Amino acid sequence: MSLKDRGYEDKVLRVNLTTKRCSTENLDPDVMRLLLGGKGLGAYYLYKESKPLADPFSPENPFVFVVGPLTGTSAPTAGRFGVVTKSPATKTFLDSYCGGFFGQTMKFAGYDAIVIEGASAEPVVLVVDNESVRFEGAADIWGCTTAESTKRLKGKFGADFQTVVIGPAAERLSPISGIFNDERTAGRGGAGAVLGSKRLKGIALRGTGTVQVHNPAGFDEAAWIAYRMLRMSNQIKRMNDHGTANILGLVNAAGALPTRNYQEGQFERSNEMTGEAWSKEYWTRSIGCYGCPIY
Amino acid sequence: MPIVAGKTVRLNRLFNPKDGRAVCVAADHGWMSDPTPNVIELKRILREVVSGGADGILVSFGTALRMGSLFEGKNAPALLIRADWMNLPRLGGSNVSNVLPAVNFKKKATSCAKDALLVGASAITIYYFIGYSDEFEAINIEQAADFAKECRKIGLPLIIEPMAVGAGVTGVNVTEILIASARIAVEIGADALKIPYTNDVRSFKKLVDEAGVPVLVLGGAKSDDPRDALELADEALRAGARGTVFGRNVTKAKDPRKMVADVCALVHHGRSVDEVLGARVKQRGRLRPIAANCTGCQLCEIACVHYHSSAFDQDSHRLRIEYKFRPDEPRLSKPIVCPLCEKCVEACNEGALTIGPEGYLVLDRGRCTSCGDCVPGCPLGLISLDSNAMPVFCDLCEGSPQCVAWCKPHAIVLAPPKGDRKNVS
Amino acid sequence: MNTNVGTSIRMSEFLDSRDHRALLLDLTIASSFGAVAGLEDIAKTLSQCNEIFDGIIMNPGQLEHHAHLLGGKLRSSPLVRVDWTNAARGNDPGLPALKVTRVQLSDAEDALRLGASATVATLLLGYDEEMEAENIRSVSRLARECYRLSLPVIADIRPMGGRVTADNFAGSIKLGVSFMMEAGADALIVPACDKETLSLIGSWSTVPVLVRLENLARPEEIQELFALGMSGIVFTEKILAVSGFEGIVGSLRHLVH
Repeated sequence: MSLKDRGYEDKVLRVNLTTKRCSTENLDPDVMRLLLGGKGLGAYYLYKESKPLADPFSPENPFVFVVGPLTGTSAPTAGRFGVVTKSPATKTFLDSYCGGFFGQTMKFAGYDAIVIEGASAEPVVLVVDNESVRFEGAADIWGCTTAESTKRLKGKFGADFQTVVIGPAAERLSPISGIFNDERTAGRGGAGAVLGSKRLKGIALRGTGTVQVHNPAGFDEAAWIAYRMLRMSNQIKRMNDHGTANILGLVNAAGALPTRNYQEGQFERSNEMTGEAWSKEYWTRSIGCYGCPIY
Repeated sequence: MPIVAGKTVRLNRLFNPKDGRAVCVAADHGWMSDPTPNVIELKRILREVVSGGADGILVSFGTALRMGSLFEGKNAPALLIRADWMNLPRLGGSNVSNVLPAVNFKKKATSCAKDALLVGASAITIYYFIGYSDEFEAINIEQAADFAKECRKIGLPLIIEPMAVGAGVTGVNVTEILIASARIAVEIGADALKIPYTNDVRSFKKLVDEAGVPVLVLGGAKSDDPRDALELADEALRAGARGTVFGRNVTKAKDPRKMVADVCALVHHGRSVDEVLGARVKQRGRLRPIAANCTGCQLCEIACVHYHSSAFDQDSHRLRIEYKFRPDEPRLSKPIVCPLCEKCVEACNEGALTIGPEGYLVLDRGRCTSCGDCVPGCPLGLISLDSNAMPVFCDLCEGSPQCVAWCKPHAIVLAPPKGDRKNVS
Repeated sequence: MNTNVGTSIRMSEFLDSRDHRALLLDLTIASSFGAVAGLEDIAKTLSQCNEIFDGIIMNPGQLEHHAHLLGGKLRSSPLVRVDWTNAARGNDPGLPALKVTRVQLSDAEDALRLGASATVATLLLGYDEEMEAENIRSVSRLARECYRLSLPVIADIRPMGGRVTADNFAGSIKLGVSFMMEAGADALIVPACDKETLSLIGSWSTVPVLVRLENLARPEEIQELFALGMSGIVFTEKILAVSGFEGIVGSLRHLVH
């Protein structure tokens, strides 16, 4: 059974921003047997290709977009992508994950990972349309906010292109800047700044291919049960109703709510910040990421 | 001096002697959780549960004292008493909004087994928590052992409710832990078990077989779709469970009586879930979008693709989600689904595309000439041609539309066919 | 549905059998602080109060010493508080409670020996999980014992702990009400709170609910409480400081019954 029958695309896109050359390579099936998901794949690439003591902002710091074998299928919560690199904030391993709609599009474009090396002399956008890959100048959107950049890229390439972009903070190498797919973010560790140092303003990506599983009927049954478990979960219901902030009340009760730079663990007005308070005052509608019941 | 006879007679009160099975309802939430409406309106709900035909109801002492008349009569449900107390529902974000959330897990033996005899109980139920910490598990075992000893003395059946909770429990080991906990509970002295489903028939069968005492599966949190609890019960029964103890899936249901009656149909009358719900298989109707509920997640598209193809893709779906972006507003979305307007049927000159006898579009491949007129014929643009130039269109998944089944926020529903008031899904 | 004869009779010793209402006085604070104002001469206080209240809640020791002043057709029935806690001390400058605890003082059999018409058990909310769990276990066990001996149990719900805030105060009371009804309490005492919460509790509870008032209330306030579904009032030692309190309570009595 090949990797392609088991949810993988068996293809990695390698992009060198210095030479503007791109190539593709397959996955090593023996190695894949030892790796779990996109996280494992990204860690593997970073392990293989990063140089010790390299500055996160140097062209030598590899940057990997990753997805997993379940991405693009009906498995719940698999509609995500990850970014793996060396963090400018911690100077160590960074992986950060993001919902939205970029992940599965990368799979349908035919890639399990996109490895970005080097740095561009001028701001560019990487345009991937299935197997076709090219660069376009991004001088006109360099300095634009993530919202504006997204809008312009979608306007330029079409609504069927998914985008990831960085904003002015990442361009200025802020160590806590993120990478955005629409309003979803890979926010941890300053991954945005690494792309900023490479002057990669973003990626516009379209994919019209397929993801195969070797036992479609069995997969369908397992996915149905997984969704049922989510439907029958109170934790998930609380996420639906009140978002991630639903745990705030508990955290405050436990004395672990960082207050005034963690001088105290309880905040006297925490009830105004809980998920319940937010949903009561500010919620207008729920929007979901790809295939996700935890909107 | 063991009084085994007492346990036997009392268990017969609970498990129907004809099939050895029991449909029970757990109504002890007010004793341990925040009082939600299903707690405040308990009396009305329990009357409906009784009329639905429940074989047993699990309540606290207070409820037994206040609503004891529900348990009078030969055909009335057996009284099951919750003999301990714990704070798990208020621990972390595991339940509805907790007014006084707890951080440390606590369980106490708040009564003795003899107390349950005073109110005419047929059994007591106690928890056994495993996975939180060794000390906590030891407390649980000690309390269970005390109850077991006493129950042996007085002939009162002991139902133990093992639960795997805590840092030691992960998605990987939860099934294994549950299976072990079931057997451990029996070793300690359980006469029957109330236990969560392992979400897999094979593993639950192992649990049931290795336990060797009657196993009642519990329902857990309530799903918006009543089908979920029934499917879960059905699977557990196939794995050898002797019945169910549903709590919130019944007490929070729109129609508790019906929910109990439906479970009884599964457990005691051998009906299938489809038969009980009269739904999902070969149902006639039209797809109807409810845009206000749509979160734009595209799960309907994924389900549509996967029903018709073994692979997954983003293009071959026969319905679509349309998005609208307004400045400073969250993204709007709505499903564009086939309303069976039949314009494609009109556009087809060969009579190849028609509405079949079961109420959905069918293609006569012999008649189709791949002229492609059906494509522009669809005012919603939902028809395309595949690589063999054959039309790809919404066929309601041959009567069981997957988009409806998989959409959690109910943004696509099956509405009655045109001119037909019956068959609402 | 509890048709227990003994329990019904004992309840009627302080809860009027015609209007099902009660006016009670709680003198148990002395176990926390010693003799506070008004409790220096307990015999005198009891003599002033034993014809204007339906029942007086006492600690076991004092009840034994002054039983001769209580009980009977025209006099207050004794109720015994079976536990002790230092929770009320809070940040008292003399005796601050560094660690709040609760201890059982008496039990069902002992309460009957003392001639009590009912036991009163404190439910402290808002403290740590072990306190709370142990409190619930203790009250529950007491309720089982009292049931055996046909002795009513009154659960006194006190959301006093650090986890109780202005925002969750009402919710904490409701939580306590739910727990104690499920535990089988025969009556409940709740602190004064908003009308909406009291109304909900009034319609939801199938046992009598009494409201604990720290201060003397105006007649209109009393009437409103009963309109919301409450079954009685519990005054505390604080009213003893009001001059002429006997007359005021006497007139309030006519509103209650």
